[in-house]
Amino acid sequence: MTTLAMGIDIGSLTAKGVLLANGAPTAKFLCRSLPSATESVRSVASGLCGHGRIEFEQVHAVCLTGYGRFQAPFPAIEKSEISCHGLGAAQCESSVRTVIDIGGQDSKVIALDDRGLVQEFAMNNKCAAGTGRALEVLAHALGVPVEELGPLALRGKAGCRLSNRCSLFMENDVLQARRDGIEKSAIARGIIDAVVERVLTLTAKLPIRSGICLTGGVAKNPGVVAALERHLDQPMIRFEFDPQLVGALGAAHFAARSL
Amino acid sequence: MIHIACDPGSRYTKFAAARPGDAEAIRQVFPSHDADDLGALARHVASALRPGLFEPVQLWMVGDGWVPKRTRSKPVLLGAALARASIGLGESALVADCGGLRTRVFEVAGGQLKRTLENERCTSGGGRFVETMAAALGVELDEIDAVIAASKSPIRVSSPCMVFAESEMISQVNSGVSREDVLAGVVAHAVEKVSTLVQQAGPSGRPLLTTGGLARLAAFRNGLAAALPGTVLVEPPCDPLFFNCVAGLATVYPGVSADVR
Repeated sequence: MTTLAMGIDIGSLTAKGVLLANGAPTAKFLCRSLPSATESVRSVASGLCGHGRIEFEQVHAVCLTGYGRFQAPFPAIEKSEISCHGLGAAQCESSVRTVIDIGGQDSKVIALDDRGLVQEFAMNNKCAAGTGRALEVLAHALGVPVEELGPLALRGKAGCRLSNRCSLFMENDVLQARRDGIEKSAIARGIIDAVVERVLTLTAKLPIRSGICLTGGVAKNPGVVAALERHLDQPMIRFEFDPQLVGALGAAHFAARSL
Repeated sequence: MIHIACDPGSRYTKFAAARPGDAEAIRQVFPSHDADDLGALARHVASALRPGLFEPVQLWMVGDGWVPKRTRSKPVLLGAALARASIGLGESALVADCGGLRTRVFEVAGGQLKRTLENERCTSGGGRFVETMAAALGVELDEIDAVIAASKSPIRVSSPCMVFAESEMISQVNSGVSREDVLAGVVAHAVEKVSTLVQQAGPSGRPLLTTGGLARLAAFRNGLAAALPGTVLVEPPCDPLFFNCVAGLATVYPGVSADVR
């Protein structure tokens, strides 16, 4: 018999899901978060079931994570994003010891043991600087789509320094740099450096151990990955699995372990 | 010569312009996102004064000393301009510049700037904060006062970061709280931030001049008066959004007055 375990991660900007069949990913789903977390959970569950290809009742266990994890419209276990990102990352690559997760509205640094379990973590959820949302705001100020910010930054020269305080102060710095005629690519690099520096202030509370990966939607931004490697002076582990779905993957494994 | 003062704010870029003989400055505003080329905007502003063929135009940047590298201009220090404009307020006074991102409180005495206090790390409670929340609630800027007047029980803003507060406001409305109460809570948060900075500036009882876009809101000014008992709030002689710009212009071209009484 095939065992089906579902993990759903409801974030501030996107809702993600992974379905495991006998422990291996068999379906993935991602959509914008809906106004109600309950609707988002339903939408992801339906998407993972192939919109009717399999019946939801066939799924043996569901685990929810993310800010919407307390609003399940059906029986499910709940796990924190920190635990899910940790386990998900360890499932992708067993040598991971530090997870940097840059989400839409928060950022975290998570230290893992060799079983993928969380040892300690540091988190910023009070200020948007150092989050995916800051990158969106600053890309808008630069006049480029956020998807183009990373590739643009890779072509940029160093030297455009932005403050790494409030993301809106950074926005003002971007406008000023544009008025000074600085190349967009250099400003893009300055934006990413400022956001990364802000994320890395978390490491003052939690020393970084080798075996570092980046999870969350921002991990798809090559400029951020390159900036982290530059600032940490060591390579990042890159997953074949979609890094934005790592939290949902971890949740799915927690669901499977509950059986 | 046409003198043009430019106040490049985070949200809006304001201009005031005059030439010898003019007692009033003309004023124009542009969204800052579309204001990359300040020289071109200054020429556009100057064209409203119908300059002569060879009439020179001098651009003055009002602020903390920054001048754009691509545009020929000279700086005018905002603190000094506000101190000069506030001479009429007595021996010692405070000026709260409530901008989009920066809130600055200038302590002035006898036309001199004594010190400046500023929100250095966080923009929560600034004009941009209020504007963004109003937009999220579907309220136009010129409707804010009327909407707040209908509030019965303002909420308390618990997420100080503007980016997070936006989603908090939306979930408050989704959970049944009236937009009037949400918006009143947002402005109350702005009042709290500014009044805290004013209180840090020292003894109360001195006149307080309020400038910047936020000072356009009656609800904000009334809230500030209630939060700072004993302080006499003073309104600038022109639209508070443009006052810094006009004060800067008055510094370099005395034909225009920005004197506050």
